[in-house]
Amino acid sequence: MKNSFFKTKEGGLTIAFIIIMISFFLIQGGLAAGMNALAYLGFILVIVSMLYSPVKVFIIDRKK
Amino acid sequence: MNVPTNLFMWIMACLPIIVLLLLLIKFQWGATEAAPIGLLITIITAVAFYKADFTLLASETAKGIWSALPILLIVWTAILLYQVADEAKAFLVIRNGMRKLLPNELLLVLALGWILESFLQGITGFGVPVAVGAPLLIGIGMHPMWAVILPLLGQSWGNTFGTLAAAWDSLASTSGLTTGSPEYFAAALWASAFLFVWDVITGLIMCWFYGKGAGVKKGLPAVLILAVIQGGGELLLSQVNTTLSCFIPSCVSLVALFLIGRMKMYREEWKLEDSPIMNRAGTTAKEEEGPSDMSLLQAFVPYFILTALTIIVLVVKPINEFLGQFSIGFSFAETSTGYGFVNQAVESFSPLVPFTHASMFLFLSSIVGLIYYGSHGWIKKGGTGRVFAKSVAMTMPSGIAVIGLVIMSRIMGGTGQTDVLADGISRVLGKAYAILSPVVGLIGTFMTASNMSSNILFGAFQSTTAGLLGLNEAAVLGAQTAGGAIGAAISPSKIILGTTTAGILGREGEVLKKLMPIAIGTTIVIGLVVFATAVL
Repeated sequence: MKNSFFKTKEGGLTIAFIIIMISFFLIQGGLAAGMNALAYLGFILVIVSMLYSPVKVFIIDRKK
Repeated sequence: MNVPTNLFMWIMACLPIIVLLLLLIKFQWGATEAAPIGLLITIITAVAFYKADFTLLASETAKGIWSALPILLIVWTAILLYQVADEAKAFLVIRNGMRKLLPNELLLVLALGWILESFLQGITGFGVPVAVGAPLLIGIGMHPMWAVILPLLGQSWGNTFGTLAAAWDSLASTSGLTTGSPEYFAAALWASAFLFVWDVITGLIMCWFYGKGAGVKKGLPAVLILAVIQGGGELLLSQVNTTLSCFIPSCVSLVALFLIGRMKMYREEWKLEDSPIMNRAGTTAKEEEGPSDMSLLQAFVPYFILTALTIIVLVVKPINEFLGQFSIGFSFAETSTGYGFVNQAVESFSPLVPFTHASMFLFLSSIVGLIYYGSHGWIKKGGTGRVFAKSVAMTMPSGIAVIGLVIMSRIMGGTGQTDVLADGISRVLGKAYAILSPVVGLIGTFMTASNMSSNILFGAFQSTTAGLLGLNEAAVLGAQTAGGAIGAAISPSKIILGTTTAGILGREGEVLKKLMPIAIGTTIVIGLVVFATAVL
């Protein structure tokens, strides 16, 4: 049941959301501690997670 | 700031919005797919043309995620409340019960598409009326797309003074209006007058959607009575107490609706068989019944709890003050672009006050509803798990889109793109800017899904521009927030709330297409009125 949910688009988006929230704390922590690399990593992770849906719908699913 | 305001920079600032609109309307993409592309373009323009560095982008991204979180909490808990009622089949009972109380179908449509939304907007707002209203309208046999369109229209007039005037207060504070001053009440008068007109329009448009001329003819008396109570009541109360100027009239209109239902012209069973917004085939084919031992009042229990909790926590000052002292916020350091556009450091950015937040009322109402329905045997075995699982699955697509849109608006604001956008318009147009003043408010809400955010973004700008151009400042500020309220009917993030609970996620473009001409047309008329005050 759990495996099948995370294979759906909603499941993928749930993972993307979790990554975005973790990234929020990476950015926040990185900026507060002056560790810019950590903040940049968080920023990139947010963008990658955000792009999950268009990539899945218009690239991965269309190739199938 | 030294950001050059020229045509090229203006087009670059416009680009993310244009692409977003094209993807949603022309290419019919869902907001979950379109928002990330809009965000990507915003980032590219921010770096390439507005000299933003990665520290600024990361900081604004974090602010965007944090700003989106309260919206997501409302989305999830509103869907949770819907799932609880759906699992208990309460919507079938509500549909059948309302049909008996309001035998006139048009009045029933107005009740569930306009009056209930106004009531919910008066107390909670943040898209809850759309998320809650759409499934109720589907329950009475409306096509899902129209079940999204009507609540979007119905809730919009209450966006400025609803949620206990949160959006209005933000406009007053950012534009420097002193509470209780003549300028304050003058701006409130303009805002509520514009919203009164919009309220009448929304009621009549709903009748038109239901049955064209025949619908308007039948619904006109009810619409006028209800709009006078809502919009007229708000107009009067805005001169006394802005905080309650939407809440009280919307409560009164809810009571008045049932009295109207007893009037001679509405008390008989009436409907238009060929109404384009009603799904006649669908309702007759599967006329499912709810639990036979559930009364209409019992079906509404979670909503009664929601209303009671909201009123108690928001209106009873000692309780509000006690619960309001717990807040969570993060500090952010100052950032600036290569053009010297500065984002000031903040001690506690947009603090979340969990115990007075609308999502808390929704969550508690859902839990009480679950317990109440469960104690009567209306929630079947495994129902609780299903309710939570479905609510998470339904929230995620809209959640990602909302996060994308809010980050996009934060980056645009934080890199000076929003200022260039507005500044360019005012410089080029001169006094004719008055016509576009409500459009700026509308764009703000379109981008952020919040009349309050739009007022925060543009309140000071509108006030300054009005002063520079010698426009009627009260009228411009009234137009800003009225445009923002109208923008709540076409904001993609709000549309997603409706398409999510209506089960038609991905059809946001179709909804937008229907609403855009009405919203933009009315906004321009408001602008023409403001322009008239400047030149006459």
